[in-house]
Amino acid sequence: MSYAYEFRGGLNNNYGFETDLNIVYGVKFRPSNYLLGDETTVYANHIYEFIIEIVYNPLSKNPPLDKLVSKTISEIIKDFYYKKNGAVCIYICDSADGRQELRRRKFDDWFYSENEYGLMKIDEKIRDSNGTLYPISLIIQINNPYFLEIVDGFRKIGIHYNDGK
Amino acid sequence: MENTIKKPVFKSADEIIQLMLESKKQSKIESQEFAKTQEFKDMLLRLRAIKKAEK
Repeated sequence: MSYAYEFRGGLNNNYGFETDLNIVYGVKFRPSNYLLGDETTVYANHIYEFIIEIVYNPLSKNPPLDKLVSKTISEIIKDFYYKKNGAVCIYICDSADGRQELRRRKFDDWFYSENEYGLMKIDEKIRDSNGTLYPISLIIQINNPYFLEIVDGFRKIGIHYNDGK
Repeated sequence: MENTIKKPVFKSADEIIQLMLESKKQSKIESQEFAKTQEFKDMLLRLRAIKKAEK
C-alpha cells in the first residue's frame, strides 16, 4: 500500500503526493547530463538527478516517520523507470548541515522499500576540495546496455578511485 | 561549417557537487512557487478524490 501520487511531467519529470498528515512531497528527476563528468557519452542524456523534497508542511516540525512515504517513493521510482527505460538516476546527500548520513539512510529506506523491478543501487562518496564528503548513489537498471561503462564512470568520480591517484 | 562532434568536457568533483547542490536549491525554489499556484490546489483535490475513492 502507498499514497496516491500524480505524475505532473514537465522537463523535470515531476511527481507529487500527499500524506495522511497533509504533508505534500515532490519527487523530481531532473535531466543532468553532466553528472558522470562527461556530457559526450551516449548515455549522458539519460542521466537524471533524483530529488525528493517537501513542497508543503502544515506541521511546525519535521515530518514524523511514515512508512507509506517510503513505499510511495519506491512506487514512483518504479513508475519513472517504466516511463524512461534506460534512465540512470543519481542522488546526492547534502552535507552542509552534517546530516548526510541520516539522508543516506532515508534514501536507502526509500530504495529498498520494495525493490523488485530490476534496479541496482551503488553507493559512493565524492569529496570537494575542502575535504567535505558527500554520499552519492547511482540507480541503474541491471539490463542497461551501458551498465559497465556507467558504473565505471560513477566509480571514477568517487573517492575510492581518486584516493589512489 | 559547424563542427557537430562533441568534445569530452570532464567535470571535476567540485563542479559536479556545485551543480547538483545548485540544482537542488533551484528545485526547492520552484516547488515553493508551485505550492502557491492553483495547479497545486487542483493536484491536491485530485489526490484527495483518489484517496476518498479507495476508502
